[in-house]
Amino acid sequence: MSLINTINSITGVNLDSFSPEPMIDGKGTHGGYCGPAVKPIALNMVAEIARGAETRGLPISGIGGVTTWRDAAEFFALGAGNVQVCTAAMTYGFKVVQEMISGLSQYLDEKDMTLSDLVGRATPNVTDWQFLNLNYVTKAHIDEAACIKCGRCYAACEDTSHQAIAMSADRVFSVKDDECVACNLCVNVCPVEDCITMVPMAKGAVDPRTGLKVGDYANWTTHPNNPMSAKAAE
Amino acid sequence: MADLTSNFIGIKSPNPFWLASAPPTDKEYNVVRAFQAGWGGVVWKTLGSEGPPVVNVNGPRYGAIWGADRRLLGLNNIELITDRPLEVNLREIKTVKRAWKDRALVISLMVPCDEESWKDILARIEDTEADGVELNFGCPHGMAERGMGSAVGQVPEYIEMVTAWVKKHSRMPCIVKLTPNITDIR
Ligand SMILES: Cc1cc2nc3c(=O)[nH]c(=O)nc-3n(C[C@H](O)[C@H](O)[C@H](O)COP(=O)(O)O)c2cc1C
Ligand SMILES: Cc1cc2nc3c(=O)[nH]c(=O)nc-3n(C[C@H](O)[C@H](O)[C@H](O)COP(=O)(O)O)c2cc1C
Ligand code: SF4
Ligand code: SF4
Repeated sequence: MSLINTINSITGVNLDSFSPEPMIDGKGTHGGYCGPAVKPIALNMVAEIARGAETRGLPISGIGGVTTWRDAAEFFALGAGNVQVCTAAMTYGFKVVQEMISGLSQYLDEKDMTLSDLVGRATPNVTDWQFLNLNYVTKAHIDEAACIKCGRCYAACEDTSHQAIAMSADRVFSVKDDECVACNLCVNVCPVEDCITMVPMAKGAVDPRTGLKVGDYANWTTHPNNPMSAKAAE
Repeated sequence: MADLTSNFIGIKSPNPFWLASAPPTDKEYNVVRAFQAGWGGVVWKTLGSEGPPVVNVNGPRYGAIWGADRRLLGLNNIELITDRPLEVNLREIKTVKRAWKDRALVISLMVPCDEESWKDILARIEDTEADGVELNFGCPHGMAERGMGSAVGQVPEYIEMVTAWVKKHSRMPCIVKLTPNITDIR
């Protein structure tokens, strides 16, 4: 099978003529959405099919937002046997394939892998939420040398996360480990790539926020707060 | 250079990068230039049944979403399946396949949801020597009133039925193209 085709959408509304875009003589209709924006949706659907009990093992041709060799490699890693491309060719012309070919080839050589080694390599690592390790504890860390002092991380954490970033009078930003829940929001809003990173805590260390020791793998299914796990224990 | 040769359900191509069924694969001129540029395969722009082809709007058919640097992030279209006559497409497909034997050439199809329509088109497809067919169950303007495209693609039982007809009336490898406009892809 191949997926995905386009997603029903309206990309915008003209606020002078009050018609959806693209506009045909004052009217518009929903269209099919594609391109880089749909890649996350396509990747999830490919993964669901690659690991689904009934659909596992079916050959998948991955489609949706593939623009670079990296995008393609992600589809392969989640279980696609090949990829199909539309928007990237329409945006950059047919020659984009040459970078896809050389990039993928170089990546496979660097990893000393074949294409078939790559296909499905990440599928077993797609799991359900309740199986995620609750003892994987990380803390945000700001690289002061890379920071441009824009304050976005501070605004984001202070207003909508856990008030875990301190700003000094001379705009030095630092993370309060005893407040940081490791949500990753500061990383995502920081305009400087790799300026903020998430650093995992070593096993046995004490998390200053919870006062608990970082232990072995444990997930929600056995957590004492889970009513289902408490019932199972009785 | 790593070996990128690919075999997808028995269809071989020199690399795993195919062009999806859409304007880039709508005609011989495009597909030949795509192959010259190095594409491993193409899925030809979706064909419909014999008869007068569909017509597209004559105003803008694309809308877009841009990133801050006006990089295109999302593209939206109200284009239909091919608006060129079936015979022209079939003739061009045959010519291209003969000239580019090492590339994958798959034909996308969308015809009414009855066995005769599928049987008829498949017979004509076989003659082109294309490598396989892709069943388009996802066109958002799938002409729901005629029971095609995503109107069918949202009902798993229809997909199963149509796919069974294709297997019955053709020996070609068959790819089912799924629409994401549903709640559970599995
Ligand atoms: C203008 C346009 C026309 C398309 N026409 C078809 C079509 O006729 N048949 C089909 O199966 N998919 C069609 N598609 C969907 C593409 O084949 C592809 O599934 C989709 O664009 C997602 O890939 P992309 O993000 O690389 O563009 C069309 C897409 C675009 C942009
Ligand atoms: C981290 C996060 C947590 C959310 N939690 C909830 C929730 O508990 N209940 C809810 O109804 N919506 C929740 N939402 C959805 C939002 O209320 C909102 O519908 C969605 O983010 C779309 O709006 P936006 O594009 O402005 O973010 C959550 C969104 C995010 C990003
Ligand atoms: S990871 Fe979340 S909680 Fe921690 S500092 Fe960043 S935004 Fe705040
Ligand atoms: S968002 Fe990044 S660059 Fe801006 S202040 Fe925070 S760490 Fe520095």
